[in-house]
Amino acid sequence: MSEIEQIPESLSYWQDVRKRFFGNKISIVGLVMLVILIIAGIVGPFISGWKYDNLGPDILVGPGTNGHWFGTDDLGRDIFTRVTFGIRLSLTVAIVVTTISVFVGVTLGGIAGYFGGWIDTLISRFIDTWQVIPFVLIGFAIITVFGSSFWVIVAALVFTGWYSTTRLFRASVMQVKSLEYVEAARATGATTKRIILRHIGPNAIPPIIVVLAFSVAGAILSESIYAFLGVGFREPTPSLGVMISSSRNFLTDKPFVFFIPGSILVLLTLSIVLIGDGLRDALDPKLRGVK
Amino acid sequence: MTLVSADYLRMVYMKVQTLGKRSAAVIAALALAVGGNVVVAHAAAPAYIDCQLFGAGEPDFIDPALTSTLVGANVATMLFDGLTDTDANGNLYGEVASKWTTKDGAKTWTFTLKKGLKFSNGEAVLPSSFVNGWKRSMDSKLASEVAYHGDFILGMNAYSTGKGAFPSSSVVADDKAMTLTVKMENPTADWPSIVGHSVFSPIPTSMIGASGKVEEDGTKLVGNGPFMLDKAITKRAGGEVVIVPNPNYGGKAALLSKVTFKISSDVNAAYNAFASGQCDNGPIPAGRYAELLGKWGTKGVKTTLGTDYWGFNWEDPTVGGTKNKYLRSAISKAIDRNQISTVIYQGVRKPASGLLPPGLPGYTPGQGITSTRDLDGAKADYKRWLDLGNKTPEPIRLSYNDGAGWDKVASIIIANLKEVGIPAKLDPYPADGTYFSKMRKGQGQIIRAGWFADYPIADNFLYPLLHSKSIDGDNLERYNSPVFDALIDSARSTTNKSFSQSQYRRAEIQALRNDVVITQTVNRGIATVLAPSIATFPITPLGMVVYDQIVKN
Amino acid sequence: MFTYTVKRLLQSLIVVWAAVTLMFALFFVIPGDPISLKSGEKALPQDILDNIERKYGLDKPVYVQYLRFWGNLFRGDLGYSYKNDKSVNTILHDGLSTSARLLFWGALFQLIIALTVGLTSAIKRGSLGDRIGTVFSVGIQGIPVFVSGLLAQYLFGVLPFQLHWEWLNFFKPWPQSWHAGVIPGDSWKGIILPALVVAVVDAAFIARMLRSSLLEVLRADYIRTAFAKGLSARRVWFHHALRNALIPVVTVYGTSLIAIFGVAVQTEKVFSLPGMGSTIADSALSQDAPVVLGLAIVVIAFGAVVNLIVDLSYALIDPRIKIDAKAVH
Repeated sequence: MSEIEQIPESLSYWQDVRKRFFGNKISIVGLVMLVILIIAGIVGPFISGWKYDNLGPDILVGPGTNGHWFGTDDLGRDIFTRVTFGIRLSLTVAIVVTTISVFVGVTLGGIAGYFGGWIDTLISRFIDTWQVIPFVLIGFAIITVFGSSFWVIVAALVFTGWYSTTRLFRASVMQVKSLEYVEAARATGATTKRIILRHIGPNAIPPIIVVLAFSVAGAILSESIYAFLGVGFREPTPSLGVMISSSRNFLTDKPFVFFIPGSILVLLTLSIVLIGDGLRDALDPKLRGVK
Repeated sequence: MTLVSADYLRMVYMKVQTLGKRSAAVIAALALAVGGNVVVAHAAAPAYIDCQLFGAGEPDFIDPALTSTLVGANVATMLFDGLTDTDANGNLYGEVASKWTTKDGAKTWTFTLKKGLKFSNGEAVLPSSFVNGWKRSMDSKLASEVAYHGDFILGMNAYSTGKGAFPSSSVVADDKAMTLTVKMENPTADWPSIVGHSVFSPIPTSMIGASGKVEEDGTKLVGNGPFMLDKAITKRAGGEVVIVPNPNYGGKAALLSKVTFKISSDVNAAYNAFASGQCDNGPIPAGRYAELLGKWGTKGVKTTLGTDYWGFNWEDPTVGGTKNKYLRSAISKAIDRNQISTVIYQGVRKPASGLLPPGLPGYTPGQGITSTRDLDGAKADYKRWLDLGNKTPEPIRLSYNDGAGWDKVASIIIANLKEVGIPAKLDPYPADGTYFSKMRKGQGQIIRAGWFADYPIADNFLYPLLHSKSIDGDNLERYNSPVFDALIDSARSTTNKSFSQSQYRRAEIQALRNDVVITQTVNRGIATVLAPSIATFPITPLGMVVYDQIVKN
Repeated sequence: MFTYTVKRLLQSLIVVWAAVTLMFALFFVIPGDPISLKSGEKALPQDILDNIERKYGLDKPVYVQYLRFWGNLFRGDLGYSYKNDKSVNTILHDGLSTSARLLFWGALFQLIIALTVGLTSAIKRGSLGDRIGTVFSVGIQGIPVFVSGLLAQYLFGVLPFQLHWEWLNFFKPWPQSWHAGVIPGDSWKGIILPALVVAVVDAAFIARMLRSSLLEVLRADYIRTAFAKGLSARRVWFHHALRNALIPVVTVYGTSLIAIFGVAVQTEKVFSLPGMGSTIADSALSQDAPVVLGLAIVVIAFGAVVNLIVDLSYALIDPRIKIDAKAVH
């Protein structure tokens, strides 16, 4: 190390973000876990040699017996196949839900934040109404009435998640709207569209990315909670929540039927949370240049 | 258990005379001690704590006019005695009625009541008590779910649906002669069995017009059964229902001094309470039947009068009608009933060999097309069906109501059918109460169904489930067979028991073997674990525990 | 301030009304046959079904049922359960007492855990304990309540039972008798696992928040002054630092109170406690609309009140927020 202090490189914002994210050990751990789980989810059902609803002759046998890597459940179905299928299911639901929520959030939040006035009040009151209903109640109401198919569950989850992205984006838009350089842009005659795309958008995006990550984790958890309570996916769909719920009867003598889907669910959620934490630290402009 | 009888005393007296005073005194002292102990033991009858009946939740009602569940009815039959009842061996006997006669081709029945029977409040049990009871339970304002059992009585349906007055001419009570005469809508040979249902219980005058809330107060639900309520019931998890022997009971006194039914919201918690010695019997949590029955014994296990089955939609082009008989018999022969019984019910529900369950008077085994599994026969029948010009069908739908665990049975059946080459798939319907109405409209293909006897008679299975008049009722398959109808109608209108039983038998064979309109899977069963101190635990075929005859050491 | 309060109050009322109407619409308007559902196996004859429907007023047009619903509500009558005619008021009372006790003990445990862990990890910053605390607080975010509940059941119930370690066995039934409302009269061990499961959900998060806000406060000038004045470390920590650091923590408590319902439902389901959560869950599945609506009103009203209080206290703390209140949320 020379006596002269090294002048730090001048990086652009996004280059800096990338450097800080991959420098964070925790984020790497999360990323690696997630990648492994995703690969398992995609490849698993093909390589295991069983189908998730195939009943076999071995009931509740432990991991490793007779070609069942994770053992079998009370109907003789292979647990490895079901769990990897469950990963697929959880991620698919979570990504679809989050995409729709963000779409809705950005649209409604953007409109509310930018135009203000009575539009804003209307949308904000609407948010308040939804906010006081616990997400479990909404799920009960929607799913018990409309049935528990994939799209109904997605709808229920969207209804419980849309308002956080809306509120966030609205706040970002309102904050940025009042900044000086936006006024300057307007003074020079930029159109509304240009203002939104070129100025407000890029500044409001980083918080959205973080919320995205946590939304995905939240959706995975919510879906499994619905399944556990009997409101979401039901047997024989191999949702991780369904498997955990069914394992309750066998907790005494065959605990692996609980621990396997339980750990997979926790690891899946945790990996995304760690990535989200890492993203939040990486995207925070206040931390630029700080070791 | 009898006490010191007269003969015993005489024998002691004789012995005393031959043995001499001293030894006699010793013998007398011993005899008194033994006899005294017997007296003491009988006076201090044991108390009983039941954690099983309401281990999965509080009862809907224990009021006999309103309860529609097995567990609620179990308590109702302890509090109220009807005209007749069924014992643990399945035999019909007169409870309040001493005898009954019929005329007009089983359209009029006259019951003679025993004299001197009383309610727990001292009031006499009279024929008019029954009329009052039926007026209350069939009242359209009470809106009881089980009022429809009264439809057998002439003119009662109009009353129970609010369209008419109580048919006083159909139910005539003569309190002086202690007779009750009932007129039926149609010839009803089984009326004595039917009238044993708890909805036909008598009530004291204090309960006339009482609402559904009357059971909550411990003193208002007054009956004539072996037990009476000890205090107000607390109908929630953690609460209890307590009954004590009825001091005014006219029949055989109960062998227990008190029965406490503990209400729990969780079967696992209830079982744990039993396992730690807090109760005399407990429920068995799902999935642990084999383990716990092996540990505690099988004295509390009994097959009950119920059958699970899958019906073929008679009007479906692929599976219905006489032309598709071979497909249906192939499916029926392919189902592995042993697998269903072991994997899903762990042996508590045993494979059924017909629609009528064992324990029913006149039961014959082997009425169905197969009793367990006939894989070769299934393949042969399927080939026969294909040879008639049929093509491999689209996956056949196994229709069931979601959320109640039927997907597991259906999954096993699908795997069974796969071995024969018949494609099938799950067809769940939402658990919102519309399943049966949708099935009635013909939306199902292979329909999940089941039946539990209301009263222990063959007619209760065959008529509501398969007669053409039940098509918009419980005949979900929409089965319409003049041959079947004729057999049932002839059986209903005769009081000749052997003739009616043979007709019912023929009808069962017609539906199950000739037409294969339904295929049975397993019979119902009840299983509870008992503490070692329980010597006798009588259960009727209807699944009711006879608490007044439990012997506890 | 007064006008702001009144305005927010009115808004809260409208919000509650809208939310309840939404739930009503879902349960009463959409097809589904709760009466048939409760009769289970036997398909009841149509005229019996009509009879029962008449008894509950289900044969009337929807708007009549809606008006009757609100009318009864203002008279304090929440309706009667389809399942067994039990008054919803009674069901509410039974459920509420259990849930309230669960949440009381859960909140208490949460406070104790958060304070202990937060304080020690701030004081002993960088130590092994601090690191473990951080790992735990991050890790817990990925574990849903029902998984931690079942795990607790296994570790402190099933396993000790099999190993015959009775001292570790905390899986006991929920107490049946209570003194002074919240002290268990019997089977006190039965509250430990459920309360812990509830506590653990946010305890880690709050502990972490406490830690970071404590550390921030410590860097402040007035703390250094206190040290310079010669006050003992303990006095500085407890009298100055802690009090100021608690402010953001208290606000977090407020927002987590709405999420508590989801936590309560899962905990009650796992441990089979007859609380509001599991009652709503079972009633929703059997489409027992009066019970679901009756209990939902209470839950929603509670949430609205909490929201209102949090908003008002924000406005009290920082007048600027009144104008920009929504943006800061």
